[in-house]
Amino acid sequence: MSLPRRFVPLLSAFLVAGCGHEPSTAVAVAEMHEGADLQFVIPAFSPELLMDHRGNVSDVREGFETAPASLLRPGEEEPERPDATALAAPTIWDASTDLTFHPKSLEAWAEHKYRGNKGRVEVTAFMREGGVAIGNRTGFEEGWHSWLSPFAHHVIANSIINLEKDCGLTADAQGKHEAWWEIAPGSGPSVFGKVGFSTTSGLASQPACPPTPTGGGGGGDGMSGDAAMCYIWLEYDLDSGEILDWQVIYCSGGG
Amino acid sequence: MQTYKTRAGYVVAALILSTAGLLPVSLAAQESVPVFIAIPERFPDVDARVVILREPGREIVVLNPASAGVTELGTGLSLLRRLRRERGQPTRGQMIPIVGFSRAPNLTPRDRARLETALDQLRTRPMANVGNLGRGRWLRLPDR
Repeated sequence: MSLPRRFVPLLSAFLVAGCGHEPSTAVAVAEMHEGADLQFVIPAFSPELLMDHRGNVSDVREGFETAPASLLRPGEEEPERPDATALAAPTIWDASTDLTFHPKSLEAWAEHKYRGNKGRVEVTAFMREGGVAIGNRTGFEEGWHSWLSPFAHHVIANSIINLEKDCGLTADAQGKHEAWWEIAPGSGPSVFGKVGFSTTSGLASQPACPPTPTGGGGGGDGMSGDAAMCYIWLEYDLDSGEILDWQVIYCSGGG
Repeated sequence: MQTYKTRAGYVVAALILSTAGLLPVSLAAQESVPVFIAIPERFPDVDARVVILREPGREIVVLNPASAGVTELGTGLSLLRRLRRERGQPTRGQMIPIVGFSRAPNLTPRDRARLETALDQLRTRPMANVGNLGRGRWLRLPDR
């Protein structure tokens, strides 16, 4: 039995068109280029670029600060520093860390109330799949107040992780809470009475991903029937290596 | 009648071929982008297991010499393929550190063998300069 002649061009066309679509990412090792050097530039960036920090100050800088000598007017004297022993010991209370999954994102936050004129809270969200940590992101905030202020202060920080799927991942978070007195903000020797401790959240989970076919012939996209992963996205200038844009951090559950 | 049907078949075939030539232009173009894999002696100072670099006209998967294996290479290539599909070709440099993954990608025995062969060949390549990371080895994966 043979095919009618009229089918031949059709079958040929489908064959040619089909071959033209074969993906190239599946690896075939056949030839290689014998070049001396491979030229490229990995851009340098600070890890702080990846931190979640909105720079919200809980209160305006007011009250006592030691002005740099260069900012003092002629004849103006540096104000007297407060007596450190007269200040109540800094304290922290109502400290907590929590997190929740939103559609396409995870948000973790940590907060506390404190006495002292500076407070800092740092929260790190840990993304996991099957108990394996696959990525994390840290956010922090600092509160900064007059040492004369008699009121309790509050500081809160959060950390956002972008998600590409709404299934298959679990997460938890850890918060670090600190409070202290600082006479001249930023000057180390004037920091005293620093207190701090950590809190942890519970475990939050997305629903399980539906099962997907396995063994996709190597042409799989790594996100279907494959491992969960987290990655960062940075764009940079090819000539200068300067970071132009970044998106932190993406995670996707397996399935 | 037979001649007419055959001619009609050629016309349809021509349409299919022209469609095949038009629709996947961008796909064909992006799939022709050469892919390099590299193992530098000094991995970038990034908290990552694999780093992908995408530039107009080429893509590079940088493996950590301390942990370079089929799992890492397969994960890098699978993400690379997905980025091509979802984000198209880059117009400027893109750096994508893969900070973590939970398990090995889902590879057929055939693809696993290909990746192992690629890694074996990479490890026997002569030392050269690998970007601004210093000395290392690199290999171009052939188009397929």
